[in-house]
Amino acid sequence: MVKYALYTGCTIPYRLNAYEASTRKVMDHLGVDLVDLDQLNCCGLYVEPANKLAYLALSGRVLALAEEQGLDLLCLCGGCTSALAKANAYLKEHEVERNAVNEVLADFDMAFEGKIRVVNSVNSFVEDIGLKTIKKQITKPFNGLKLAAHYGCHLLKPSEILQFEDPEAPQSVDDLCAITGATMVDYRDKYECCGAPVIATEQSLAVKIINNKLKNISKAGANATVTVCPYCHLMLDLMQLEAEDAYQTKYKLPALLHTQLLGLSMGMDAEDVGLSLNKVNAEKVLDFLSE
Amino acid sequence: MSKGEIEVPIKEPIRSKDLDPNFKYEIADTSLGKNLNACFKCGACSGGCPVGIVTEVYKPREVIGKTILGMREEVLAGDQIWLCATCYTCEDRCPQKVNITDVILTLRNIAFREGHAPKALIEQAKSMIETGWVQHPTASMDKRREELGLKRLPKKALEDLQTIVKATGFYDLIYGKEEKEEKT
Repeated sequence: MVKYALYTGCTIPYRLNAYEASTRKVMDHLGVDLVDLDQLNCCGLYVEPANKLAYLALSGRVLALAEEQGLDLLCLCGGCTSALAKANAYLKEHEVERNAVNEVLADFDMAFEGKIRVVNSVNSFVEDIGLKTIKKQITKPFNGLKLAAHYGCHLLKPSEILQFEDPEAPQSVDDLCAITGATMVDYRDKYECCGAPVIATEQSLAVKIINNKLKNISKAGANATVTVCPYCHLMLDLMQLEAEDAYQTKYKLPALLHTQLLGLSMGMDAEDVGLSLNKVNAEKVLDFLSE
Repeated sequence: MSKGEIEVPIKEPIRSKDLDPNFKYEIADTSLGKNLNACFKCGACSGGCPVGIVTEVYKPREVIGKTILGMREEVLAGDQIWLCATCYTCEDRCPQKVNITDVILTLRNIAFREGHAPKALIEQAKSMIETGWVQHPTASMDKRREELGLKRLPKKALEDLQTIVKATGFYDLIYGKEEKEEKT
């Protein structure tokens, strides 16, 4: 049985409840056991540019909590995945920083030992659970739905650390979505960043980046996009409205979380996966579900 | 195109007296900066940069070049290093194995220490230190969670987080020593 300690971070439980709900329900449906950790803290992503040691210690504490349970850590957010996976690899390799972090963690009787893996939800579906197992649960496949996958950066890069798949030609999200019966469409600059990380410093650039992506996806004729990371999702969904405003255009392109897509094709209701919480109306994808 | 539409910026010449020849070693001596000086300025980084596509202001090759050249003040006090999206495309593609994204993060760490951090990031840091997370609960969150069948959020480790940020110097970095004395 596949079992993880779950780390939802802050963006998902506070701003993207549909992601948490659809993930929990899909994982439960697949017989995956998710253990909630108590007394969690921030992954440290936002601290990394300011003070590396503080970032490593924050990430180190989260990793140590999962280690105490003897479980791999399942992350849903690209930011958390990246921060925690990088810290996991870095602390294993760098003794000086590891000792410094453990000195801080000793205050809470904790220590980083480097005994677990950091796994993203897509890693989990593709590598740990397996597409064959998931496919058996697809009872209500989509028919004629054209989807554009957006991978996001931190599912794949830095590839040396994440060790998942080739970031120049990834297949995982397309393969995963295809088992729901959807047709995957390619589009220009498919693997390009969503722009979210520059929102805090220069929002207009982030909007320009996502506008280019939306333009390319629309041109390819997709009915909706599929996202993995909550920041990418907020860019393709919520910020689509900003892009429409800024560039005087209309996309009306629903953005689906990959777990919403899986849940629906497994026979769950739109309410189960929180579809009405998506900012761009996504109801029309339901028309593509087979009876 | 009529005359005068294109504005060609006139740049001041770079003078060797303004350069800090040790700057590159400051970065190269860090654990992830060690390949910095192997850069041969091929431009693979700028070519694949998602931000570089939409603005002339940020090109990773330029930042790496300025760092190697020793333009310390311009790099640390300027806007460029804050525009990196940390997507790691440049780092993944670099033929010389320069950890470009990590070099940018190292530059940001130094800029933070020297008081050049953008205000927005300082505010974000303060809010994280005070509440434990970067994002905050909204008024409708509990209702939404309940409707979706989600449990109430487990307790966060705010005290431990605050111990960590103090022990690692992050707290002083954000609030400065003076304010800390006032608070204690």
